[in-house]
Amino acid sequence: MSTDDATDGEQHDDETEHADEPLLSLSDVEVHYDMGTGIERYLSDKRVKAVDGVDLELEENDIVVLVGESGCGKTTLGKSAVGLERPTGGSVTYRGQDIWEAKDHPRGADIEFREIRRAMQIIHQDPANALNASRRVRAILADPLKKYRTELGPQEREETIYRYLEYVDMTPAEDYADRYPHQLSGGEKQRVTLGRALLMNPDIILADEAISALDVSLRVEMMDLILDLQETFDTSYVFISHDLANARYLAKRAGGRIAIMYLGNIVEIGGPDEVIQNPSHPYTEVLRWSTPSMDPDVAMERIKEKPPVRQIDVPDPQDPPSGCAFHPRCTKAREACAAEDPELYDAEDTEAACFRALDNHEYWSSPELEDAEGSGTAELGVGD
Amino acid sequence: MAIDQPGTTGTPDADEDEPDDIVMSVRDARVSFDMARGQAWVLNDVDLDVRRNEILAVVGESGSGKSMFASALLDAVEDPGVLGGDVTYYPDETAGESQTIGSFDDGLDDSVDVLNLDPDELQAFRWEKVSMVFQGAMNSFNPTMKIKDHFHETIQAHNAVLEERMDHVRTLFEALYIDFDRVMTSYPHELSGGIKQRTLIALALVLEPEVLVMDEPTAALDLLMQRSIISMLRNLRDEFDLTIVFITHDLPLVGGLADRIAVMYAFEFVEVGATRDLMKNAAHPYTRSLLRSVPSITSDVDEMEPIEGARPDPVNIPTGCSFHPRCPVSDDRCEIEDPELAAVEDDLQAACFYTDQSREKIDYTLEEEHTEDDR
Repeated sequence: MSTDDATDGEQHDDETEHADEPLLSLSDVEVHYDMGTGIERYLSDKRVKAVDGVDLELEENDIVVLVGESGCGKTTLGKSAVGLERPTGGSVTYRGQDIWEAKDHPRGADIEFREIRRAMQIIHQDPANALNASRRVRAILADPLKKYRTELGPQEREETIYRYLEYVDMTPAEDYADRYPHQLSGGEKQRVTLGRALLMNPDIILADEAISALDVSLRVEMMDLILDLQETFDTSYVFISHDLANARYLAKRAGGRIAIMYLGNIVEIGGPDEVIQNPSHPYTEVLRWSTPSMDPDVAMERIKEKPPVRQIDVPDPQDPPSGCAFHPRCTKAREACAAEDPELYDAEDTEAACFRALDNHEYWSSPELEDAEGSGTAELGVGD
Repeated sequence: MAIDQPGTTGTPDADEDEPDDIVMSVRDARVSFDMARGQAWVLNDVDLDVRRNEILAVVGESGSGKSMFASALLDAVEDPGVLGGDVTYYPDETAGESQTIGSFDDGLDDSVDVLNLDPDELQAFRWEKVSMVFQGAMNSFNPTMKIKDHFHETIQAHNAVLEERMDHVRTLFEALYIDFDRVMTSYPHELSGGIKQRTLIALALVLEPEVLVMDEPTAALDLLMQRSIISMLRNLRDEFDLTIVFITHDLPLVGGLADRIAVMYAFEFVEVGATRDLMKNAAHPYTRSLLRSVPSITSDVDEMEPIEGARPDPVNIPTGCSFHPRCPVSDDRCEIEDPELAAVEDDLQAACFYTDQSREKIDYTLEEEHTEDDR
């Protein structure tokens, strides 16, 4: 069932369940920020393109892991996807309903904004800051129920809280419900935030680096819990991670996809094995090269290799390169790359935003790129 | 300063034939904090030798005591904490004249008792002999001072010759791929995280210390920058005859970097050994479980398993072997008796009574199948 590019700009007005609509669809989403403060903002035309024209679809019970380095826009994209950040361009539709349209024009909306809000939840990176330190777990979990499940009486609410604590493996639930966040370990805190998100019975959960604050030995456990609960609750996840190994674990276990982001764009997307074993975008190769190998023999060889980039530092996002944003660092860049911005093309096993995926692109006849001026490129002789 | 001879204690079966020249030795180091609930031990009588010119990785999860160990090397444990035991530094006798860069005078002593230095001596010792790059330290630059001034301040505080030191900084910057002229005249906020972190490493090395202690130096950085800094550290070690103690929670990160790895669990070292031996066939159940719980980009996702149970509470460390409540091979003995680090193989020591059972029962694989189609 391919529901490709969201050309269906108008909502179908059928009253039915929008069965043919993807759960979530992002079309050409842009989030641009004005730079500077106060008057400077109006006078200067400097803008940071945190997200620059991204298309993404999420089905029911789907997982997409957004992978990228800090500042690549993965969190901004994630937040736009779940309606926490208003895009400056493009549209985000939930079951066919444009979510910002629903907020601005509630009368014309098929799905209420409030309902959309409920259906999209977030788990933050740092559980310690996501929980109110002066309230017991019981009170923390009761809040969303009081707001969204008003039909529940105090007794039922209590039972619901215990049930969800048990879902996230926090037993005895009565005991945990009485604790304050500081009486919980990092992993337990993160489970409370997961339980709190699930209480809303959401369709989509954005998990923003949800495991990076945990001990390494507990990450697999947390990922497994998330995957188990995905089956129980039929939730779709947008996972954000800077770690390719964890991204692979999640996507592989869940049968999901990995989307690699670079400077505001998805540069490659596909199944975990395809993206990692046979990437078509040079940046994905860089990420893979940078992910340490567990095999000490391989690692000791790798450390002597030069990084597969022209320069290690990321360009200033306020002043992004022309054409393909990756070209100043890309070892395979040619002049065509500086001139034109590639879209996602069907590559061998994945979709990749690189001209090399196209057999007949002018890239192939374009001359090699000169080293960028003064960028400290050739001097990258790391190794011995 | 009555101090044990290096290499004769704590490491009973250390290979004496090897040129195990020791630069720092730690004996019975312990750090405790008084808490309302009782006394918390965050470093529990640890012994470890740091060999000259090696890269030693100290690996542990959060709350394992690894940062305390780093602080103990410089007598830098923060106040309510009390540090006991012995930390000894052995100057390089072959270095001769070049020793007089700053104001620290190790005189004719062939060893320095770090925990008994007076405050002035300690201050000099800390930059000139053993230097430290703290976690998140790239935010420790003064935002109102140019980078140049940070260097000048440090050099002058140690009464070193400014010009000579700045020449040295130039070579350091070259080794770290930093543009000297641009960075020196910049304010910290004008630099990226990766450049700041590299600049900080150069600052830590300005007085040519022999030992560089780094606490999670790459934690806040992007993958590629992490990897690049790791490569640079190896070159720095070779070029400037450094000894590096690298503290991290990330075992895979140091696999290609470290000569030796020391694994901490519950405020003690549970396994110490040559990187290759330790990674390929660890002996301690904790190390093996840890290796099995960390996914890599080639690992079999169905084989991964978390370590059951929670990490111990510093106020209430389990009796006997502190890992026994989570250990799949523990028995009654482990509940009562605390195993000491003992040699398992030539260059591998583990604090476990049942290393054979551990190796038998806890499986993990590291091998990468070679589907190399890199570039």
